[in-house]
Amino acid sequence: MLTLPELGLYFSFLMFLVGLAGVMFRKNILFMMLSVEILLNAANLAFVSASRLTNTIDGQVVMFFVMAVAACEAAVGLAMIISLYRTKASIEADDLKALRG
Amino acid sequence: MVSLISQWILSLLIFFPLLGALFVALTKDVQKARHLAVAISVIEMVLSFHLIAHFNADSSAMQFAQDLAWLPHGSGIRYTVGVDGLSLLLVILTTVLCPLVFLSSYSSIENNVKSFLALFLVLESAMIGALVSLDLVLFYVFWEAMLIPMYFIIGVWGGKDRIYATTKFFIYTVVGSLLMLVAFAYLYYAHYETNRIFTTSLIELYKTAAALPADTQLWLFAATALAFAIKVPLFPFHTWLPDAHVQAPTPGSVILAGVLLKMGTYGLMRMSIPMFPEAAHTAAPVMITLGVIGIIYGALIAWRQTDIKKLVAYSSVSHLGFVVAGMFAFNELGFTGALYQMVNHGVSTGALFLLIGVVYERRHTREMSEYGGLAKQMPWYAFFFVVATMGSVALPGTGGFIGEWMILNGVFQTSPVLATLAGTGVILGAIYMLWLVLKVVWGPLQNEENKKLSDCNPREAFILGTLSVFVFATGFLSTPMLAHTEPTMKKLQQSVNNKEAYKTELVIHRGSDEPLRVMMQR
Amino acid sequence: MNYQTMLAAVLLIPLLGSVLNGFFLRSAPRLVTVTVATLAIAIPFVLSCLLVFGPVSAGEVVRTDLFTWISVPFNEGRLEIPFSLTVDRLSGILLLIITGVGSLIHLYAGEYMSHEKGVYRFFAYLNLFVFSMLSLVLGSNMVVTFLGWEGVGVCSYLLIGYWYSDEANARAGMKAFVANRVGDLGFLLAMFMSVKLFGTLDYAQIAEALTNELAANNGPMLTAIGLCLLLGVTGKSAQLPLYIWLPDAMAGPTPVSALIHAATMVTSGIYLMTRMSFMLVHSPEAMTTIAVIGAATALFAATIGLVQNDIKKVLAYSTVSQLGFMVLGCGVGAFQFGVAHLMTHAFFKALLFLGAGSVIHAMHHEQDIRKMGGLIKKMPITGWTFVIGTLAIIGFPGLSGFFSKDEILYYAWSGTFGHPLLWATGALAAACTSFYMVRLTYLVFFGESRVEHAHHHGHGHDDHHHHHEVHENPLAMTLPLMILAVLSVIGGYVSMPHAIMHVLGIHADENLITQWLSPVISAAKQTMIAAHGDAHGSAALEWGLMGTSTLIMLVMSGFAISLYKAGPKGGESIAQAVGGLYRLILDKWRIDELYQAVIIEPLKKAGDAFFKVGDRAIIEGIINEGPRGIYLVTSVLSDVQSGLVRNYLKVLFIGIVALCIWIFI
Repeated sequence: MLTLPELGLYFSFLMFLVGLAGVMFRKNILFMMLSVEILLNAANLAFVSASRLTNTIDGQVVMFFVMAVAACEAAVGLAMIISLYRTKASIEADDLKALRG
Repeated sequence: MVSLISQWILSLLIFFPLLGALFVALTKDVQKARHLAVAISVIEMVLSFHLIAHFNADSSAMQFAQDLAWLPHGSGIRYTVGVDGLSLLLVILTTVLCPLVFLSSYSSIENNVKSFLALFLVLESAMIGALVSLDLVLFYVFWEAMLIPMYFIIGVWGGKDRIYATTKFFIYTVVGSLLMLVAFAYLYYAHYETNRIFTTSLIELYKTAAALPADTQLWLFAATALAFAIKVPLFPFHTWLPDAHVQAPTPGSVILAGVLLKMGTYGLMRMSIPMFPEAAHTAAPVMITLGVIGIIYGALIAWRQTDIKKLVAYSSVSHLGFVVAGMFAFNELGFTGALYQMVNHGVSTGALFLLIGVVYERRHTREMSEYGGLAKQMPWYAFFFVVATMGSVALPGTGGFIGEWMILNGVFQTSPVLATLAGTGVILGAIYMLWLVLKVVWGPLQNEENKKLSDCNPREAFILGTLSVFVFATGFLSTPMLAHTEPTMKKLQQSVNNKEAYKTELVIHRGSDEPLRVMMQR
Repeated sequence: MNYQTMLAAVLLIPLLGSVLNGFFLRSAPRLVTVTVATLAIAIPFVLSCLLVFGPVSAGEVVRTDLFTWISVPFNEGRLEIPFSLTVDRLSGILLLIITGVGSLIHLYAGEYMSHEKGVYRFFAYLNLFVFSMLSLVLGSNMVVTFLGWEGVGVCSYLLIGYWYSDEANARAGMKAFVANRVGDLGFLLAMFMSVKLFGTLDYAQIAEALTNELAANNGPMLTAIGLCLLLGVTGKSAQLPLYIWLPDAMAGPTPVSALIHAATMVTSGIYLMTRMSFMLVHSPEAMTTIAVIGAATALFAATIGLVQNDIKKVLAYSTVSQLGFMVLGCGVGAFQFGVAHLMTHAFFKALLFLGAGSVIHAMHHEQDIRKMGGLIKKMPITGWTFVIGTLAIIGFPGLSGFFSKDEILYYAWSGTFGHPLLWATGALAAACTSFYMVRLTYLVFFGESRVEHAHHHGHGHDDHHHHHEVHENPLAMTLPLMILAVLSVIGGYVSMPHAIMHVLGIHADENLITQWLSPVISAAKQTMIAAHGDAHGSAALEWGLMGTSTLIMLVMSGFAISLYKAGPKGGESIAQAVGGLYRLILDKWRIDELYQAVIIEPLKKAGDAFFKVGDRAIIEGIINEGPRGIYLVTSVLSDVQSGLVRNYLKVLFIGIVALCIWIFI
């Protein structure tokens, strides 16, 4: 029988896959942002579960950092999306190909 | 006082034009900026005469030397400058040509005049710096610094295809100089390996380099010689030159032919040959052969050009073939002749480019067929043209003869066959130069546009007259002119032929012949 | 003034004259220009007389060092080339000819060029030429000689192309310069070999250094020097195969042809060979080659002269032919008679050219002999002096050409390097000479007048001249003719054959020229005697050869007169009989075309090929293809860079998975 932290780890792995698929296959930047949030949260869950498993507090500390970074990232990212939408009238990632070689 | 000046004269010569460039760039009035630039270059020329006045002609040492700390201690990279018999003539050639070039720019440069003048003064600084620096890194800095102003001079004030030409010029030269940098870096570490001390002093590295095994020497020789051969330009690395010359504005062409190309031959004589005597011996037949090929190849191509500037550009390939062949003969005749021919080529080819500029400004074409019969309309112009031509074909009585005679004589002493082949360049030279004169100066005056041409104005006549005087002065006064160079050439010849390191030392000037000790950080 | 200063002045005064006329007297009146130019040659003539009849005839050698020209360390020692001048017996003769004949020609040219504008240029060139020619003969070393050697080439280039508005003239000048340059390369190589062998270029020092031992050890080298010098001679003295420039050089004003292309510049090869005689005789191969080239040129040019219709062209080919005689003389070892013929030729050929110029001047630049005839009545002085010149050149007994040419022919048979075949070639050439010179003289001065009126030609002439009748020219033109005519008559007595000297009861071992030149050529003579014995033909042979050539001369002259009695059409029957050959000779054996096709065109093609294939295709190709190849590879790689973030992420994902697999499994 799985313990709760182990379950959390497996769940975080699944969440990570979901987030990864979202980033890789969604074309809307907004959804890609959301998927990135899912990725971060998957990592958070993994940290917390691991901290619980090993009986240390480090993982939980890191989780707070990650949450703070995620909040900043969301704020900056959304601001960029708005500005992008203003200039390009689109938030499709495929329209942004200036880096193409 | 003299001693103090002697100590600082080279730094003054290097940095004075740089300072001048700043002032020229800050001047409001364009005409004033032109006058200022001429004044600066004339002062520079007068300053450079201090070198002749106080040069010890019996010594092969690096005179007027200065050795100051530059980069952090452990690196061994210092600010070391000095002139010997080899660089003295070329420094003087540079400082004398520059005022004439600034004078010629009064009419040939119309846009962005101030930037042009400032860039040109920077170029003068860099050229003198490259000629006098005795530290490899310092040399490399000046060597590359020469490239940047020239890049802009061709690229901004050039002709129709200036971007192509200037890019080509830049890339060619940079490829060569990067290889040279690798060779320098190798030497830097090789010196550390043997002496446990880092230095980039040329005088020290002469010893290190000469002691390297033969095959290493050969690689290093090849790397440096390639850099210089591209600059010369030696066949088959010459194809950038016609494009650069054709596209460059008149002052650019003059200084390119007059001084910049000499940097290549100077580098061969200053670095490649004395540093790697063993390798130089191995490579000499190849280098002479390339020189001779260049002589004939360049001459034949020059003959078939219809663009006047291209013709003269290819004639440079031919003439510099003589210089390279001469220095690789490894006797005093060859070395002295090569050095003298550098000066003569600067004078006569510089004059030819100025002459082309004179008619180009009036007619805006460089096609030979557009001209003809100019002697009727422009008698003084025709006179100067014929004088420059005679200098170029090495007529006895002009400096070109002394140079070519010494070179051919020197090459003949080592390789009669190659000298004979090179000698055919004398015939071919007459063919293409006289062909040019025939098509431009003689013949009937048919083109209506040419019937309206005015003869040289006093400014042009002054420039061309000065160069014409030089053409003949070098032809008769070779002994006093070459007196300063003799000990250096002799030492060069001895060290190469004995395959031993080239030994020289730093001194301030004749008054204090005590060697200046090179400061080194242990 | 001591002799050294005098010697320097002889050289520098013409240069001064040239500078004065060229720079400071550009707008001066013609009279001033001409006076300055003529004085700049006449004063040196006076000084030369003082020098030559003073110390030089007393056996001294006057030498002056002006300054050190070139000085380089060389093989432990030094190679010093002072700019120094020497006058000895040989350069003395040349000095007198150059300044003497030169003064006369300057005087003549002042009148001849009287209708030209901007004549200062002409006289500046002419004075500069004399300066160069003097440095050629006065130089004490090969480099100073070479200064003159090339200097005369340049002046000749400028003077041939004097009327530059006609491109043909400028081209002729260029041709002369280039052909001379080919020869100059030979001179240069000879210098380099001398440096290698002797370490010096001073004539006196070379003569000292050239011991018999050195000569024995360096036979091939000496032969090579001789042949290189010969190349120089063929260029300057218009021998086969480089003679082609001289006929074209007639494009220049006639005084130029007289001074440069008859009397002085073209004879510098003979001067050089005599100067170097001590070295040349060490190499029988070189001497034989010289003799053969000389004989071949003499005959070859004479055949072309037979059929020319331009008065100056006939004289030009005649000059080439006569130069061939001189070279033949040098080649068989009779250097002194080469010089003697040089001198007499300078007199009579200058006379002939000036006479021709006088005719051309009076005819307003008509040069076709078919349009002349009967001129002797209108121009008696020109006519009779021309006749004297003709008699001299064909070797009429008693005139100068007879002595000098017959001595050469005699030595061609009996000299050290002589051979009867050489004599035969020379005699044949002499036969041709007699024919074409008499033909020329007869067609121009005798017979019916074929002068057309209202002819239009000329350079910058005023129109009213054309309506005048042909008449004799003023004294400034005829005086030089008369002086030269006298010299043409008496000039040959310096080289009187032994046989005649015996008859006349002159008891001297050698004739005048041999005595005079003995300091210069004695070394050569000794070498020849040591190596080949004293080659002397008998008096009977001398008489026989003399008689033969006189007979040939008389027969050919008579033949020419009989043929052209009725005008220029007289030769047509013969011309038609040998049609092909006639046209070939009329086209000058098509040598120019041959050179064009064999040398110039291939070189042009090579130049084009080097440019289009060598530079543009190969070198540029390699250099441009390199970056292009790199570009191709990188453009494939850069396609991976799609710019789509999700693609990058996919790659990232694959990478992480791969990494995990690699690490954990």
